[in-house]
Amino acid sequence: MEASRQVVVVKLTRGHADSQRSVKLATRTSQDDDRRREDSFKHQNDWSCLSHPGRKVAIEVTTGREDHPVNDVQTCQLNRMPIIVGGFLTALAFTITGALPALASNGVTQNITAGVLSGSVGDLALSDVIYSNSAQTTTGSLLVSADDSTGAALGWHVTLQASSFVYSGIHVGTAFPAASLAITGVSAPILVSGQAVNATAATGPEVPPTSPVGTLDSARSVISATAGYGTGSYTEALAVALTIPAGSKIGTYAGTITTTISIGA
Amino acid sequence: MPAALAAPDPTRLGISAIGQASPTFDLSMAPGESRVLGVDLVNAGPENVPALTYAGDVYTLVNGGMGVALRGGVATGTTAWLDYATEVIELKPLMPVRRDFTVSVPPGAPAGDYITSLVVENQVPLQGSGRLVLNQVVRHALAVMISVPGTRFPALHASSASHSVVGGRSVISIAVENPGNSNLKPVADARVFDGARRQVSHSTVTMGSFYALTSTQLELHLENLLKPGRYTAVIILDDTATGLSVISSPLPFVVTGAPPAPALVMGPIAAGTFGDGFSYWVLGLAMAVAILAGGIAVLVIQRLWRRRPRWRRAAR
Repeated sequence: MEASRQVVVVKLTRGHADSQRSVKLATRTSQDDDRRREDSFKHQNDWSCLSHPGRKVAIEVTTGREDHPVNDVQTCQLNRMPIIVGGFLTALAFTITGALPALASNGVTQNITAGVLSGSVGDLALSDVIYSNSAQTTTGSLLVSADDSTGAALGWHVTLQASSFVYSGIHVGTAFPAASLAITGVSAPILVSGQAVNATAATGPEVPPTSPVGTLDSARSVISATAGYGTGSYTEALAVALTIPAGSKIGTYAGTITTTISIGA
Repeated sequence: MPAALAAPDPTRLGISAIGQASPTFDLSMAPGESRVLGVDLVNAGPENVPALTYAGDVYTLVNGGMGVALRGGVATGTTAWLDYATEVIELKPLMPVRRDFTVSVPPGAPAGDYITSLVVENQVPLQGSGRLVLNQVVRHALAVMISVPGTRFPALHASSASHSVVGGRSVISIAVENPGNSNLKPVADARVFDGARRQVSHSTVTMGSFYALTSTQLELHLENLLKPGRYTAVIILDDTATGLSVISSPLPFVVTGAPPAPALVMGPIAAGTFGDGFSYWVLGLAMAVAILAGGIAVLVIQRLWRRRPRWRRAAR
């Protein structure tokens, strides 16, 4: 498995206006060479390898003209900075094709390996409450984020589960049970980047057919994508409610929400 | 102060199978067979993360799907077939760490579909803030599916029903069980009848994976709130892949009178108490009002005294 964020900038300067150009980009997974961590930079002129710990980067530049040997290429740099893989491919192709209008025939091979699948929640807005002798409910919202950068498009689903809310304070308070926190509504997923959401065909990231509405003492699937879809980054807003038992002591209540993402819808 | 979660996109930890056709493990193993496998653990975030990795039991989520036991759970069933070590690893950005483990199918394991999982998550929960604090654990679970060859006996059973209210609507929960030895994906056709045997609800629920030898809840979310009374639910469970079709017996449940709805509140939390249920700021406000009222009363009396009739002054 390989991380999704990397950048490789290739600068090739000076060339020949009458040269033939070509760019070849290829991808393969780390399983091809899964134990090889060393950087690899292969070139006819034995350019030095640059340090890329944890990834294998191979770039081959060859000339297609006998009268313009490869050492006409003067500069080649590789720097790491965060961009998404798709953007990287585009940037690389653009750089090579755009910045080297005069270079001789260039074959560039870039190995890109799989990124990770990640899901999390954020932007919780839940109001504080005033002491009451009656049970009360505070409402708010939660934003779920899901990102599939594996490139495998096997589908995925994200679940949420809450723990009980443990009391801390100067009074003898008791915890709220995990079932106090509930999902009361869900909005359609929104595309941040990547593969489009196709709600009509129910093939992209979607609110699962089995409603996620309910208490979070048990895990609930809140967003999922079927195989072949969901390669991208998405958000989904949830309406949540926290029921506070009557007579809950004044103080702080802390719970933990566990977000799990796994392959397969 | 309102509750707040840690910044979004906090951790990006991943776990993937090594040497498999897909990023998960989908194995066919005979009883008594052992196999050494490996996973890569990776941190795709920008900073080092202490990551907890462990093997977790898999169960069936409400309405189906893969649920994974939380950290600290005791490994049971298929999870006990793995010798995957629970440990905390400092994962550096973009530096995968490999962990090998062995899957050993017990010699007497009956034929069937089995599943367990491997998990990687942030060891230290991301800290929220406010009076209602919500910390966060972000994890990635990897399924380890093991098929032990042999005859499959698909089966489903619905045993009981109950009623609850979520978001002002009725939710009917039906306890269902997969006592067979194969994973299923049933579709439930559910009907609810009132005490006069009139149908009050009809819905279809397409369940996610319902794992062999597990039980879960089938939840029916009604459009409205049922009136108090006695009801029955009847469900038909169909699994296309196996051809299994099961109809439940009438499952009775009672809708009790709705308790008073909790008040919806928004506002600052009290800073302290004066006995149970009495806040300092309430006491302070009362005192301020009393002092103000007293001052106004003094002013009014003074004015009245000055404006008293002349004949009263003369009488003095």
